[in-house]
Amino acid sequence: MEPTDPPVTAPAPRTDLDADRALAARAASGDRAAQREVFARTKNAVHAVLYRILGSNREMEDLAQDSFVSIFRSIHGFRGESSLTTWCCTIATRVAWAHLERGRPTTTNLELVPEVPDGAPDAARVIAARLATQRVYAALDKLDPRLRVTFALAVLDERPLAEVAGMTGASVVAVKTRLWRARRELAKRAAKDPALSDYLGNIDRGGAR
Amino acid sequence: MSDDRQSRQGPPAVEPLGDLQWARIERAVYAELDAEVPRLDTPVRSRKTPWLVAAGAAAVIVVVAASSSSSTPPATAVAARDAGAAPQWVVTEGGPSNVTFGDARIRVAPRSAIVMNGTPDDGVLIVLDRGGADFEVAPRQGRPRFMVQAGEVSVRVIGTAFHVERVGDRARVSVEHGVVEVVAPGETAQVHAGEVWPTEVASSQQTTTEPIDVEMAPVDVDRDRPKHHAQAPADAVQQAQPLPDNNTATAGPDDAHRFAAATAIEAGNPAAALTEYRKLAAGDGPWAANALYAAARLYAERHDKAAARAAAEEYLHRFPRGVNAADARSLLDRL
Repeated sequence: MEPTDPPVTAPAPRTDLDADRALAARAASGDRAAQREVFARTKNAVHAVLYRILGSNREMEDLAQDSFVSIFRSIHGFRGESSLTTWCCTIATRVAWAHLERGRPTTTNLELVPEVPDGAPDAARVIAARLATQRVYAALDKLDPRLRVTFALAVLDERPLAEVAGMTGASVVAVKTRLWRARRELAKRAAKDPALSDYLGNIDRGGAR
Repeated sequence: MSDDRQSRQGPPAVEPLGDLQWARIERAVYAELDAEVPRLDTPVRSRKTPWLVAAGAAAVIVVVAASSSSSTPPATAVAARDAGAAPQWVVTEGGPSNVTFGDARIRVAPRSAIVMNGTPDDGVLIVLDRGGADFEVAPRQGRPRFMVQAGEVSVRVIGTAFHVERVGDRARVSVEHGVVEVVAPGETAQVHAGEVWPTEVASSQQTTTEPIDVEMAPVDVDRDRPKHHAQAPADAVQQAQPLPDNNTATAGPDDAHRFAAATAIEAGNPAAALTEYRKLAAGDGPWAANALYAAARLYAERHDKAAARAAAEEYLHRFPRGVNAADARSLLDRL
């Protein structure tokens, strides 16, 4: 709850927000069909934000379940200041954050990543990307959850800083600080890990935040 | 995923879950909602959230209702024994009610309603739905956050006894002892013992806060702006500096200090903060972009739309790939 930040996102068109509010009100009133609609409309976005933060589908069923239970417990408080999808993603972010705070490992072992068939188009690039991803999330596992969540949302998921601030309950200044600290920690690890170093270098050259 | 991201070996696309997995998740969600259990001791009157009622749940969400008779009955005392994830309502009619929530004591005035979110262990958000309430809260040093929200106004408790009264989207805060921080759109103020905070908020302005699931948000002790302590180690002070927009440039210590100082005085002296931001933005140092966007944001918060628009447009003209470019565009959309 920062006082000086802009709202989380650019407001959706009023008609969309009105529709979101109406749907949320129906879901809050016990309309199971409305709850199913909320679930169907937001599940992919909720899954994506959980995946970006955690880096794999391991434990995803539990975390997605926790996210939607929290969403439906809180949906009476949805006020339509952002889209329903963004609001649900904010709750999912907090669920992922709480999961990280509990200290559970999240990284997928490289051995568990499906094999890429020989001769598949761009197989080498896919394998390299997976290797880099595994390295990144292994490094993120060592970070403070606040830094990890901020980095994942702002850099890996490429969300605007103000949106990240809203989703993490921090100021934009705090988000920048956390990003800077996350990069510094990752750079230390990259010094000993060429794959991670390449990945981070690509991010910087790509102009990501 | 964009081609650009692919070309720089970004993370692969999110690996989807199968239909069967989603079906399992959805079933489990509804089963858990349907299995809600009572959270509080001795409910006098229940006010289940309607969707739980429809789900056939036995949950008792609401707790208190003093007598509805015209005479003032003795206060009802209720303890939130195991405050869990479900929001808990306290609704009073003709008389007040006393509630304990962790280390906080709350006296809910007649004809009032509050919603208690979170847990004493993880952080508490009390939403004042209507009426008023007195709070007595232990100092928060080393304890999870305790917040009160009344309309567009949030009160962060530092350790105090205080009263909050809601009038529409506005609120009045009076502090008996200790200190609280009041956050309203465009304004932050500390209210000390004996002081009253009258709000002057525009009801049309959006707030960035949402009364949701505080229990899910880990308490973040350094979530506020960077703090600068003279005694802090050099590394700690460095960590507190926001990243300048141009990562490759070396920020002058004076500029970094000036930016941080301007940020720190935003709430108390926004005009001075704006002046400092504009001075920084007029230069070509690495903090110019940050300062220019900060000025645009602050103008917007002060409802100076023309100045906010001009600053945001200047930002996009000068720093089209700056870290706040998306934010500046979003700001322009809102203006």
